[in-house]
Amino acid sequence: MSVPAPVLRIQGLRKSFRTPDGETQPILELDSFELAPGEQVALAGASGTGKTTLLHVIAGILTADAGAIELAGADLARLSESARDRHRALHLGYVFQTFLLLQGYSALENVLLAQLFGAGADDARARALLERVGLGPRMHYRPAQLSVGQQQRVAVARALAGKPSLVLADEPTGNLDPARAKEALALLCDTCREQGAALLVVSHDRDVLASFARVHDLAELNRAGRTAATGTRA
Amino acid sequence: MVRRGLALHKLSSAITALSLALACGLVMAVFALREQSYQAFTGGSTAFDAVLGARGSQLQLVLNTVFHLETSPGNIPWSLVQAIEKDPRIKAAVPYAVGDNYRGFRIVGTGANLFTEFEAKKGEPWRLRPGGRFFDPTLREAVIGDFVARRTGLAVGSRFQPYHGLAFNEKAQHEEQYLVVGVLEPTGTPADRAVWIPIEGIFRMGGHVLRGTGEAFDASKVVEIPDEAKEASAVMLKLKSPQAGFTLDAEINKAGKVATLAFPIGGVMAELFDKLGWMNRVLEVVAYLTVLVAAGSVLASLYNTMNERRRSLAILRALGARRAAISGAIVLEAAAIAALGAVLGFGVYFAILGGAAELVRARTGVVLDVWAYHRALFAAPIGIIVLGALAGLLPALSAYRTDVARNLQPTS
Repeated sequence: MSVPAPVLRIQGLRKSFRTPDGETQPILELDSFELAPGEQVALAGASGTGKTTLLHVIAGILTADAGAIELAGADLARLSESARDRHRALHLGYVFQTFLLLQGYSALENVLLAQLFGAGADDARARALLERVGLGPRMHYRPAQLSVGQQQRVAVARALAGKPSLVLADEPTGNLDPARAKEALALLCDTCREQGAALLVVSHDRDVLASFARVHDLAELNRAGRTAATGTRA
Repeated sequence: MVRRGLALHKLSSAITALSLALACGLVMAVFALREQSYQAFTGGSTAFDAVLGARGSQLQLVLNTVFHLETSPGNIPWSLVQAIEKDPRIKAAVPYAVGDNYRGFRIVGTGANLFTEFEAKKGEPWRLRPGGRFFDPTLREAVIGDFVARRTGLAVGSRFQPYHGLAFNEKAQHEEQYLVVGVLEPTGTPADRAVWIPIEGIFRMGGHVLRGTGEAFDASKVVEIPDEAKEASAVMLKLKSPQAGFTLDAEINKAGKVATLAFPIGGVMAELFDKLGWMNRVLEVVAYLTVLVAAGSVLASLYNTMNERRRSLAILRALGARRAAISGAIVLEAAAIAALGAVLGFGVYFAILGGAAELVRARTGVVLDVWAYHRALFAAPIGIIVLGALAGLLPALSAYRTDVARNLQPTS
């Protein structure tokens, strides 16, 4: 039986920022990281360890300084910016820490817009997803008319709208109280599983991390990457 | 996205669209009015080919007799009227005598042949409203224009007393009473604003004196007025051929010293418009400047909202929207605002033109066709939309350069 190709493969990733002093500050040094189709993985890390940067690099919003990121079979570095945008729209869902819903649009329109840039608007699927996350009666509400928990559910529905192979979630429960956080995380994991999407969650919340069978510490991954790089250079 | 962008900023979009509407309407109105008034005042709609009058300005002669504006440049002796009537180059001639009014509407003393040998305007004979007839030249009867009837309330059977002078002065009322025997159907010409009475009536009006002989002659006290005492303000002419006009022009204007021939009438009026050409150009420049200011308001309106939009644009980019799609939507939004302005501009255009047409009609009787096509009605809206889209380029460039990662960062 053949092993399915990973939905995400990271090789020798390097990303650094220039500090206000003009110094180059490495933030990501990942040697190797893979995610199988449908797999659900959590990345642990304290604030400032580069969790959001990693997700942005995987999403193609930021470009890596070096290394390869293969998402759904395509090396992002080899794609033009517009091709990368399209690839992101077709294969990736993103649940942002503060949800980042478009305020002028209804919940349904937020979900439809996410489809629009990929395979095209699919009204039935958008409605079904909102029904699934329990927002059927409120799909025409605007974000400001929804509670924080409901906004988070819209964000989950939006992330899954384009039938992505991978969903990235950045501190998905960061704005919720513990009871709602548990419920929201369960919803995220369940819906990703139902839709066949792999899930990569970054969080510093122990309760969140405890929900995953596979958890990596980003600081350790960075250390390992640094060591490997030093060894290679030696 | 474009629709929602407009809805989210509906107040600024509406104000911008309104300023564009004013600009678009103004440009269309300036060009259309210029064309319309030029056509109306110089075009071939007048039924007269030439006017013979006292030595002086051709323009004053035409304004006085054809448009019933301005004062008369003076009188010509009756012998000249008789001579021109007998000239073989003349197809028809009718004298005019002016000097009185009824409530500001000019009274024109003329011959009955005005209504039989001439037309109201080219191709359209004089037509009376039902129940009316043309005046008997031997009686104190009057035929009034449509506009006069509507404004004064005079109708067939009404009696009125003329006022002396071309301007209405309540204290200068003549004693003679005239009976309205006919009301003309609207002609869309200055004739709508005139009151027509027999020329004999002007000669015999109390207080008028004839100076055909050089001596003052009071015609109100005699039965028969000697021809040598009579005078006319002008003679309206229909020529047998345009060539006749040129030969008469040479004889009367160039070789003669007694009278003036205004020929061709359209050409005389065109000279007036040419003299006023600089004013049209000033109006055009003002209209263009208004368009530029309005286009600037599109730019300012969109650019001012760019900061608040940046986060939304970053979210859309994170969802997979391409830079070109985002900036294209901004340009499209600018074009949509401009298109809305262009559509509303037609309302402004019709309001301006309607008001101007009413004013021109009230002052001159000339009817401007508000619905007439002019290429500015096509070019101005297209130009406004293109300019609006161009004004959206700078905000679009700003959208294009939006830093996605930075604008996705939590704001609190």
